[in-house]
Amino acid sequence: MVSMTDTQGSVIERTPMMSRRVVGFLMVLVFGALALAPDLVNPGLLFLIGLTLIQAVFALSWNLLFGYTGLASFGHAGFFAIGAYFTGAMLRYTVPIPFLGMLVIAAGLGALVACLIGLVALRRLAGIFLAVLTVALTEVLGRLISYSPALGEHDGLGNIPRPKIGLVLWDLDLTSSRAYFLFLLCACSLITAALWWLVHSRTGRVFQAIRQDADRAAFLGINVARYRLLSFMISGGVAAMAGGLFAPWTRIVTLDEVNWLASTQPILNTLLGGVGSFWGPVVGAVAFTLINYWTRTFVGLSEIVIGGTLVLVIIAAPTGIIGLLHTIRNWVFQRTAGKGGTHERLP
Amino acid sequence: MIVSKSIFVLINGLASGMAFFLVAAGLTWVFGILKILNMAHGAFFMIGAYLAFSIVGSNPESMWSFLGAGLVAGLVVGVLGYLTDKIVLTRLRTVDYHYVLIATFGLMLFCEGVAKWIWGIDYFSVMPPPQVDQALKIGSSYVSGYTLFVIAAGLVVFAVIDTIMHRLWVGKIMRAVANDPWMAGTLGVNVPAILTISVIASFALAGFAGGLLLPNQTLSINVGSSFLLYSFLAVVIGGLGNIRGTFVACIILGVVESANATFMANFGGIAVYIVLAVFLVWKPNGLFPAQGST
Amino acid sequence: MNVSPNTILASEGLRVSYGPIEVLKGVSFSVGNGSCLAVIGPNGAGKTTLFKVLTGEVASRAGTISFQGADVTKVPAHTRTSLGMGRTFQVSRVFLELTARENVIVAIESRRRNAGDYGAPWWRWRPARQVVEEADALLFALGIAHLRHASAASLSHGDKKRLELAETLALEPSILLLDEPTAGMAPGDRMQIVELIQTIRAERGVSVVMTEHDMDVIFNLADRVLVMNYGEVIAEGTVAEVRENPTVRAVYLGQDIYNAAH
Repeated sequence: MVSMTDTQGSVIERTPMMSRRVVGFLMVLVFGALALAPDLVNPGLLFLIGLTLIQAVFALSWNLLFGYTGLASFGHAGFFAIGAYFTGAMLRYTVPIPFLGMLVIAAGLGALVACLIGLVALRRLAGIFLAVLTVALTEVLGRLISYSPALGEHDGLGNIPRPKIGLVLWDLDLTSSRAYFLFLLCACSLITAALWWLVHSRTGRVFQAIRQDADRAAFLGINVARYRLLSFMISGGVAAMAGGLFAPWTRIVTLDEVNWLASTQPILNTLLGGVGSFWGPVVGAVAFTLINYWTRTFVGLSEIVIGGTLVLVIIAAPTGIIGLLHTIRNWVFQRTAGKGGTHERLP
Repeated sequence: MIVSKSIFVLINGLASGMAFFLVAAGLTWVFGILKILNMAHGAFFMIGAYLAFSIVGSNPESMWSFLGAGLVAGLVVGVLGYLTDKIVLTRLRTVDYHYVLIATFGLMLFCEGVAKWIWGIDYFSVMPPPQVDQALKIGSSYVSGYTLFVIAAGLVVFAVIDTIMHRLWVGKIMRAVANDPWMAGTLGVNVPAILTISVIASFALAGFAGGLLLPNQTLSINVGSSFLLYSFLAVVIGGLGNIRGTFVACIILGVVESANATFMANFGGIAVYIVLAVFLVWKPNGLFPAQGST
Repeated sequence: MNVSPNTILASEGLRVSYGPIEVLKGVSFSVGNGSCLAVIGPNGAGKTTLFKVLTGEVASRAGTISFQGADVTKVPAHTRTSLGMGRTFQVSRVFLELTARENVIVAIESRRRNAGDYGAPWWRWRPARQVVEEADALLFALGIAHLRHASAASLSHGDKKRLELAETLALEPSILLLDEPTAGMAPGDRMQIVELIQTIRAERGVSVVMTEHDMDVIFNLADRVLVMNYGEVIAEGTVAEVRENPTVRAVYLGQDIYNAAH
């Protein structure tokens, strides 16, 4: 089958939109602006920005699997919910584990579940089996939670307190929105940096080789099944960690986090922003928040817009926003570029 | 006591199995021929159910108006299928299957949004037509006539599809296309037409099933997703794209689900996933590991 | 199995069936260390299947394969590769979205991973300097150094073959399994590939097993020839011996063996 990514060029060294220096400068600028956000915007907007940060990390975890390893999960909300309900319950019932430890355990749980699913699904026909099993995971989790009084059944787990982090020299009190937002910003940035490192590392190169041609990768001595499993576990772990950060921010976790629509979110964000780009999911998460914000009052409209956008993006613009920008830039600056996918690196 | 309970479980399980099959049949048909796992299938089932409800209301006057509403729903959804195929699916024929899965996923959301917009988010319930509304006594337990009606409907639909696929020339062409579309094309089969017809048939079946299963549960926007999920499980357990395998898998899932609901009511809906896991480990290629044959 | 120490790769009684059709009916052969064996035969003779069994792509129903004295019959493809069996494909397979250099880097890093030595600390995301240098040296050796920053998708057919070969050599294999190394190439390019393989053999001392249609290529490269027909070995020997073999002549039905390509 023809891969839609054929037109996108290399994922490792695609023609960069901007040089690394510019990207780095932009990152610092965005980080600085976000760090000032609690003092500049109203609480409602701050809440949305926080959610967008979490969704961006969630989408990045999904794209590690899809854009880099070539596997699609349709129940990623399951991993997110594992993290969200775990930290939610731990904080709610004041289990004496430090918050950072909770996040690590949440990630471990996500990775463990991913490992179990992966062992079954990745044996054969990876794609379809993984799709069905991940959907099933979300469904089973939703049911188990709805039967569990401790997790709030259908009403959700509410009144989740925000944590305090005891560091060696001083205690970090994250009870206020401002403090937790800043913590969230740092955590999301660190996770993003770690993922960036991963996909650009030699392990990331193996993932990309597997996505492009799994058979050839095997004949280069790469254990394809093991690396697919590894990617799935990291992806599940990061998604669970995003969920773990989510619970204390919203202070309530409900079954809305464990359904199909929630699983679509990272898919949509990634495709909207651009599959072939590391920053695509982040751009998509921001774009999506904006769309959702403008259509929030109309019954059914958000589904129509989300679903319609997904279909439209796949049919008309498989490279997403970043791909479109790319095309526009090529069109403006170098009309001759883009022939046959030749990619000369910028100096 | 155990015996009568078992009969109860069996009959109810058979009924839910047939209900799953009514939805899964179209799904597996399209999967077998287009190699597309249509995530929007449940949404079109849901649209069929709402259409039939709009025609026939909460209390169907007779069996004929009930069946008629189902047929009209099937026809309309079939037309929607044609449009979907022309607008979306034909553009995805050469695209990596992951993107096709995601696109149909988007289509599902789109349909749910439109349905919410048209019919609102209220729940409706529909009575079975009077002819099948009585309870029948089997042993010491009561079974509703509608339950038997669903079983019969499932068997009839299976018989029709199986006859088409394995006895008629159309079925031979379909199987040829499923096996090797390129080869079938060189032998003079109009492959695009076969693909389009399959999509229309599958959607029409979904719409018809929506009408028939109206009294089976309350009608809401989410009515399609649980059916779709069971259909997925059935398609995977039965052997991807194999109609007989799907049929058997639906019966297994239905009976397991029914036994689960009767004997372990506190954990309803969990046992089928255990069954899924067992089958995936035991028979990863499905009950009927078909090479493209439907 | 009786394997002499001079044998690098040997098979004994390989049998493969696709459904009711038996494609390999007990194939046995051996390749001497450092030598080059060409597998020829009409279309449908089972050459490609034999190739797939040797590389681990297809499992045999019966028989054994031994590589460097060890039984590898049940060993998965990626492990065979890391043991030192490098292969190329009939239609060259490279990672289209990566540049030529990155393609080779992936292969080198894979070899180093299996050897347990990356040559760089774990946190370093860029490929180690010596990895890049090795990649460039390989690209240079195969005459495509000037294309190292081009995406593999943009390479010509012949250059893709070279790149694929560079990747395979990056694994430092002790045997090269080449599936139709000159398929679909212009005669001039063919001879370049032949010279390239000769150089590789001379410099690295690797053994070669190849399937090939072109008799000129075989003449120039092969020490021994294995002739297959209907899933069986019908002759084995030097090029000259095989050409004089009456069975082989009968199989090729009086065709000029030089043009017996199809």
